[in-house]
Amino acid sequence: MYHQYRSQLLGLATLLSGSRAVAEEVVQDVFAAAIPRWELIDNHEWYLKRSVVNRVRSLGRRATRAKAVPRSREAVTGEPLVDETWRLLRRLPARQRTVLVLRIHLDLPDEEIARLMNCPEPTVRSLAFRALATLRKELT
Amino acid sequence: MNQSVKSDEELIALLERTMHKVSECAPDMEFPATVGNQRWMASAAAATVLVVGVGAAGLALNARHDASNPLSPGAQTAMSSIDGGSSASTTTSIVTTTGTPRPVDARDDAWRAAVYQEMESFGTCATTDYGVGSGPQFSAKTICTHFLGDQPVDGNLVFVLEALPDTIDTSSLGWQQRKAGFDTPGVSVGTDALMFVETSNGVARRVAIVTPKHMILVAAELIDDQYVPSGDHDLTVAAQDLNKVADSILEKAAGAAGDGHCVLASYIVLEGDTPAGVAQTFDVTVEALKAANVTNPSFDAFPVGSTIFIPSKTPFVCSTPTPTGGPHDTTPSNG
Repeated sequence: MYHQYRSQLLGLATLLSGSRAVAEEVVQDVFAAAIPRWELIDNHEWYLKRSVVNRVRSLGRRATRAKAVPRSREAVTGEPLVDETWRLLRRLPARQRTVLVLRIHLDLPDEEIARLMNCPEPTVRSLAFRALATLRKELT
Repeated sequence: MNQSVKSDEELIALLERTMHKVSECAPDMEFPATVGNQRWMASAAAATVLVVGVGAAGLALNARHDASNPLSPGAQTAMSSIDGGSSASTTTSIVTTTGTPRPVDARDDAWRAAVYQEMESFGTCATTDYGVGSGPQFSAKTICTHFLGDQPVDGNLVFVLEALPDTIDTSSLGWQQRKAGFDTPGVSVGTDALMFVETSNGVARRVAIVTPKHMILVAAELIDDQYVPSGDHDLTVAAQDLNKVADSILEKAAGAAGDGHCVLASYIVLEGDTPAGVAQTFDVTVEALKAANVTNPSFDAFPVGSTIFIPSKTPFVCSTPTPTGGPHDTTPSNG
C-alpha cells in the first residue's frame, strides 16, 4: 500500500510545495499520521491526497520552507521550456499553484478543489485566473 | 527562452506536460537522509536507544532502551501492514520524552500541551521517563528540519537529528554542552527544548528537538555545521543541508524577533470570501478571527483586497497585532 501510493503522493507534494525535499517529508508525515487510523479510512487515496494538500498548505501558512529552496535554474526535465515553466510554477503563490495542480495534474473539478482547499468555488476560479495570467505573462 | 506560449490551450498543455514530467521525476529523488540512515542502521544493529533530556537544573538525563525490546510494537505492526510487511526498515515508532520541564509561563504550557497532543497524533507513541546518565550519545548529523503537525509559524519547530551509533564518542561534538550553555534571559534552554526519538526495528534512527518560537535562535545554534566532522562523505552531504536549514531558521528567527504577537499570517480578502469562509479555510473559529482583527479597521467591512489577520490556533497569550503585514505574511505569496 505504501509503495502503491508513495510515488503519486510524492509527485503531488513536489508540485504543490515546489520542493522535492519538502515533498519527501510531507509524504512521510502524511503516512505517519495515517497509520493509526488506517483501518478507519474509507477512501485511502482521497484521504492521502487531501492530507498532502493540507500538509503542504500548512507549511505555506508558516512561511514555507520552499522559500528557502534556492530558486535556481537547474535542469529538472531536460526540456528548457518545461524547466522554465516549472521554475515559474514554483514562484507562484502557494494557493495559486495548488489550484493549478489540482485542476491540471489531478484533473479535479472546481467544486472538488474548493472542498479540498476549504474555500468557496469563486475563490478557486479567482486563484486559477490569477495564476494563469501570471504564467501567460511570463511565458509570452 | 526561445519559445513562447501563444494561447491558453498551449499554456494548459505546457503546464500539463510540466507537471507530468516533474511528478515523474519525483520518485527518483531520494532524500539525502536515506544515505545516512542506511549507513548508520547497518552498523547499529546492536545499538541501544538513548533518550536524552535536560532537567530543571540543566543536567543531562538519559534513559536507555534495549534494541531487542522495541518500544512500540503497535506502531511497528501498523507500519508493516501499510508496507505489506515486506520492509522491516520502515518499521517506525516514536518515543516521546515527557519529563517534568520547568514551566516558563502559561504560553509555554499551552505550547507543550499542543506538542504532546501533536506527537500523539503522529503515530503510536510510548512515553518514557528520564533517567540520570553520563551524557549525550547523539550528535547533529542533521538532515532536515521538520514542522510537527499543523502548528502555526510561532508554534513549534522541530529539528530532526540523526543518531550516531553509540560506539562513536560524541562528547567532542558537544552539542549538548553548547545547548546547556545557551541560556538566554528568561529562557532556560534545557527545560524548554523537548526531544523525542524515532526508532526503526527498535534502534534509534532520528532524534528530534522540538522548540517553541522563542527557542529558534538557540536551536539554530545547535545545528552549527562545526558539529559535523569533515572527511565523511555522508556527513558532508548532511553539512550542506545543515547550512540550508540554518539559513531557513535564521531567516525565520529574524522575523520572529520583530514579531511578538501570535498572529500567524495576514490574508488578502478575495472575491466571494466571507469571515466564516476564511475562518474555515484556516481552520479557526470566526470568533478567533474577529478577535485577531479587533484593531483592524478593514475587518468589519471585509472588502475585497483588504488585509485581515489569521490567528494562531494554539491558545497562546498574545498581544494585539497591528495591520502591518510582516515576515509571516502569507499573501500575496500564498494567495
